[in-house]
Amino acid sequence: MTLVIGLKSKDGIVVASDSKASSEITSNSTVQKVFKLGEHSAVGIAGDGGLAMYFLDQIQGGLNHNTGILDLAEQIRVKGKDKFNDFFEHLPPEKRPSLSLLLAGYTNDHVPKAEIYKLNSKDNFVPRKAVTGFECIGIPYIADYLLNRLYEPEIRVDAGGELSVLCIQETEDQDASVGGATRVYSFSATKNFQEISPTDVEKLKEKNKQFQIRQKSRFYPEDPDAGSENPTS
Amino acid sequence: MPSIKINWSKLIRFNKEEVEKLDIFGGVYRISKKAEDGKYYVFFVGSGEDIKQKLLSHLSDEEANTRLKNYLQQKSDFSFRYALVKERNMQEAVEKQMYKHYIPEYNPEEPKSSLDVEANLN
Repeated sequence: MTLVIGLKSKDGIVVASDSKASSEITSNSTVQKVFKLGEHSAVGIAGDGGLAMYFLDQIQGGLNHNTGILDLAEQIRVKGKDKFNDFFEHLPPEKRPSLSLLLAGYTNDHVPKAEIYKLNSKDNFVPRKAVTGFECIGIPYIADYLLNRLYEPEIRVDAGGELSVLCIQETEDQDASVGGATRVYSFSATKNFQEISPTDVEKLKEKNKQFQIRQKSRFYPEDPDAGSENPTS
Repeated sequence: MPSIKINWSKLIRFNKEEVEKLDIFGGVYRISKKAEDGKYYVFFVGSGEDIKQKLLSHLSDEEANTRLKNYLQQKSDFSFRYALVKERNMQEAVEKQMYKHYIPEYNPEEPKSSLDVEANLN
């Protein structure tokens, strides 16, 4: 399973993911799930991993990244629908494998705007724009809760990266199908796509261990009347 | 999972004078702070073969856990509780159990113990 998070920040876009792929018997924790499309947009994938990679290989080359994110979303919708219909013409839509995409990038406006879209094979890749400033695909429940509680549009890229890492950590803590290395990328309309180093991701994970939600002690205060004066072993 | 019964002390004010009075060695302990609501919330758990010395070291300038040291230097109402546990592997196991129960803010990480036990925490 997967968790991919896209998050708009004041000075860029953050896209982060886990790197675990699981089958019924085995798992692998080195899978890349986020890919750049040009230097100022990116796509994350969730679902049938092998299919997703082949699908991306098939459509990526024909995409024009320079016409803005809205047009890129539309290109992916058209190509995605065509490819899936081609791949799975023998199956009714409800029986086809599922593929989710998280697409993030900038509009071609005079002042480029960050946008994030979610596209799903189940509804012909119709793009759905993130209205909250963030979007998650894969196993989104815990990340959605945390982002709803903690995200503000004023967040900066570095803190957005930290928040994304927290969401993936907390999900991994509860769901073993999410895991492996956490990978965090950022870009803006003017800054190229780049990945945060694994060392810096580890530092963020360490910092997140102090996050308040993890402290259970507030619900288990000491009983001042319990215990004995001179306890023995 | 093995189950053990341990005897906890009452809550004791956590300062050098009170710790010096103790005649104790191997065991486990936890430190709490009295909050505005009057309750004591655990923020650190530990164990050792000489917990008196460990408690004293937390109060000293030599405490390696800088966050803990700085926190304890506040003028606040801190208390601790201890239980005597003889074997080191059991001390570590109970410390781990307490960590998982409280997720205390000032322990940097989960204690490493290959053993899991179920001890009474009160």
